[in-house]
Amino acid sequence: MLASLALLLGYQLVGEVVARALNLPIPGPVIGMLLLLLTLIIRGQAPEPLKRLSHELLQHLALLFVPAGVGIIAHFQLLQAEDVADPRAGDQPYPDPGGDGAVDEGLDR
Amino acid sequence: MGSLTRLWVYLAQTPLLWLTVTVAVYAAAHWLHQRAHARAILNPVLIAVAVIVAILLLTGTSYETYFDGAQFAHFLLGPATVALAVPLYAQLGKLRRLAVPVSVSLLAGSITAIVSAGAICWALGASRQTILSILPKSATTPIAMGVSEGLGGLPSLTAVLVILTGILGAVAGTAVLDALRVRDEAARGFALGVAAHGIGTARAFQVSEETGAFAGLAMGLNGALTAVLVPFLAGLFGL
Repeated sequence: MLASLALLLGYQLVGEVVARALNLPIPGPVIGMLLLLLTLIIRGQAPEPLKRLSHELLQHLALLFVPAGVGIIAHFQLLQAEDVADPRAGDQPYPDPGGDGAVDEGLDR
Repeated sequence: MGSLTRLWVYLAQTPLLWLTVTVAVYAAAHWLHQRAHARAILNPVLIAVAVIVAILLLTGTSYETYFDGAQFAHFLLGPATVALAVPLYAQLGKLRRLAVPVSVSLLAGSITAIVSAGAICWALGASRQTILSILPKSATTPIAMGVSEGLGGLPSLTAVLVILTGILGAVAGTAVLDALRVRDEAARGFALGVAAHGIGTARAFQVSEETGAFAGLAMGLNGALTAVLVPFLAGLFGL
């Protein structure tokens, strides 16, 4: 279990280094995934503990997206600060991204 | 009351509180989703995000304070993405047989996502900057933001659109596939991954490992292809 976690983190790290070094537009973890897939193909099998850990992590993948999803409120604040065009209506100013005043009010506190 | 306020002030500043809120609200949303026989509209990401946003607004908590705690869950996205290699490896035999349909549907799905979003925005009279920001919306967040920035779009607008795309895809995707009578698990997973990146992939893993494996594959491939296609298509349409 711990060795598998170290393995996943290690491949992510290598992926990040490769992405930076070669200036690739692909994120490090995706490169790490491809490298791990390549390793498994060469090895001919996936170790049991790695299978269990992956299953556990991916079973709850949706949870891991919650913090980024909540980030919508911070982005709305940013958009307001930049005063961009309303994505729905074209070149109008962007007075109230939440549509009801709630978002900006909360973020200003 | 004074001691309660002090307790709140203390708790609100520790990472523990917001990590606990994130996991607990998600667990409740997940439970609700299961109870409702996995009805797609009760998508746990959608519900958890809505509830937590409401909590942050009601308590006047900034996203920065929230993220200090929630980042521990966010961080695991990296290792989880790497872990996609394992179910993908298990599906390797099927993947090899499906190499041609997979490549064709990847190209078709990627182009459709980019051109349809851009065309609808243009038809509704959106500004050039807004159109450039929406083009990469079906790619995973870091890729989409990079592409948008490189072309002169707004990365922060792109980030919002990417998340909304993912949630919409996860909520509506399986219903659309049912209506189109797409039954094959590999095809369903691949469609969810191309259209709705990681959040679609998370949805696919709730269905089965095979669906999830093909969604993860589609997410990775579509991310890379979008990074190449968006600048090309934007140039083609004179943006």
